[in-house]
Amino acid sequence: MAGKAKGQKKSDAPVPPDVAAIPFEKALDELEHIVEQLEEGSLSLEDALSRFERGIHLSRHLEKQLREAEARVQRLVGGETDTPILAPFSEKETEEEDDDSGGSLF
Amino acid sequence: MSQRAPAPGPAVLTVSELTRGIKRTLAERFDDVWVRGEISGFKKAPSGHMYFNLKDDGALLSCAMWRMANQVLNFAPVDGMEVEARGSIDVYPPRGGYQLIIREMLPGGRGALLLALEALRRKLAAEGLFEPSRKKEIPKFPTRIALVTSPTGAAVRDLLHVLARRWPLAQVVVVPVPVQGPGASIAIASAIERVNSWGWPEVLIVGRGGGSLEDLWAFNEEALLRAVAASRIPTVSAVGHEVDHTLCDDVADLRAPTPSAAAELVVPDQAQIRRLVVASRDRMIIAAERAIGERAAAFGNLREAYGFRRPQDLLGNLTQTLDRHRVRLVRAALSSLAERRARASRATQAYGLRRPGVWIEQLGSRLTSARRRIGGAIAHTVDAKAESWRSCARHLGSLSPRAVLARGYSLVRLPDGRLVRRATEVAAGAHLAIEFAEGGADAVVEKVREDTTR
Repeated sequence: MAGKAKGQKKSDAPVPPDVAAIPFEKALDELEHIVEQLEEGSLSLEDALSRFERGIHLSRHLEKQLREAEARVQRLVGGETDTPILAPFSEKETEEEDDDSGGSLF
Repeated sequence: MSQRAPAPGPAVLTVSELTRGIKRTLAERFDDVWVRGEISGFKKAPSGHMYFNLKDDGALLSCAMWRMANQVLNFAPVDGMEVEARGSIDVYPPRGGYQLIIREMLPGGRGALLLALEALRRKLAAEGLFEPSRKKEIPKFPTRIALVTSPTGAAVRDLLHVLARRWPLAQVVVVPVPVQGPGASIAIASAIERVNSWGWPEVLIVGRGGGSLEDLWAFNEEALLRAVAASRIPTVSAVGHEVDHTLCDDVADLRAPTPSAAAELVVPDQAQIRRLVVASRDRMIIAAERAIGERAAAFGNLREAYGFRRPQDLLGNLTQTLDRHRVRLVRAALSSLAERRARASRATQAYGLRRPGVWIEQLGSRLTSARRRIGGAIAHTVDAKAESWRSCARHLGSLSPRAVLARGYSLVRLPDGRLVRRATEVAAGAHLAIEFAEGGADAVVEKVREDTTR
């Protein structure tokens, strides 16, 4: 079980669905908590192994989210107050240096 | 010399007459005028009258403002200040100059703006809108961000670039607004209110690129400031450059010196987070290896210890020792009894002639109770020792290989009886004998795995 990673072994091993549903910040917090528990060394062997497995799942889940994230930018173009209508916003739009008159939303 | 008769032609006026004419003309023509200019040469006489010049790039105008008029001013005129003054032109004949006699004066231009700003700042501060305790926390890992800014220009471009580079997990919505000019502050205030009632974003960034004080002025106006203060969604102010300051910065939950800085403050850096996750995984692996290693070593040590080789022997030894101790205790107790009996009989002989009956009876009862106590003590000691030996034996029993097996471990042996400790000691196809806590199994290796944690 040496920690030698041959290059970047992208573990596409599946993440259990209950872990995959955990929001990013919570997953990160739990991972750090597990690391502390394992390093403290007072868990029984069985608990240590099951916490370890959970920790591995969490770390895979976090890395997957980071890897698959794609920046999404949209523009608010209208609609009712509570149900706004969004349209794609491309960077080209930022180029036009017109007179900052913005949209005629309001 | 004869006096010359007035020649026919234009009338010749006296200086006073001409001056009077000028005065009349100017007074009629400039009876009630407003003029804008910069104050210079300001003097306030002991009488309370103010004397100064108003000037611009092309001309200089001498002014006076009498005490009755200037005492109602709500600001202090100083050199360099831009003002707007109302009055009438007057000519002062003895000196031949003309003057603006000022009835009213207002701060105008930059000075007026700054005065009004200071008044607004004080008003909002009194309402507590700048209190640090009002400021909401920005979420650490936001996934939904709203940008209220101009849809064109460097500010929105920088914001989007930095957000995409650092934290592509966040979805961004641009809410386009005018960021200067009349109506801009109202438009921005509406946008902020609308975003709040929509409720989708976790954090809102409002701002614009750099510009002059006048360009940025919308972010000093009350409507916009109240909307930022009332925003339930945490709001970050990102107006202009580092040196620019507007009241929006003070009323927001967080101030960013520039739009790019706002993006850095609002989202984490994905590279840094990724490193943290990888480091956590490495630490876990090391800790788990250590945990298993320690227990394997302890188990190995126990296994090697004498007690496990021949547990029955050890128990036998303990039992023998227990027996020896019991014999010695009893012997000691008995000899002590015998000794007391001997002393007692000597004592009886010495005192027997005095009051033998009572004395013998006392001694007898003392003997009996002593015998009882010694017997009880012996029994107690023997029981205690026996109990402690028994608990040792029990403990040893739990450490026996059988008990460990009962906790889930198995003993895996090669055909020649040696125990297998590492995957490298076997190959696919090897025969193994597995021993459980109860019973066992013969197995053939299908596949060797090098480690189990990836």
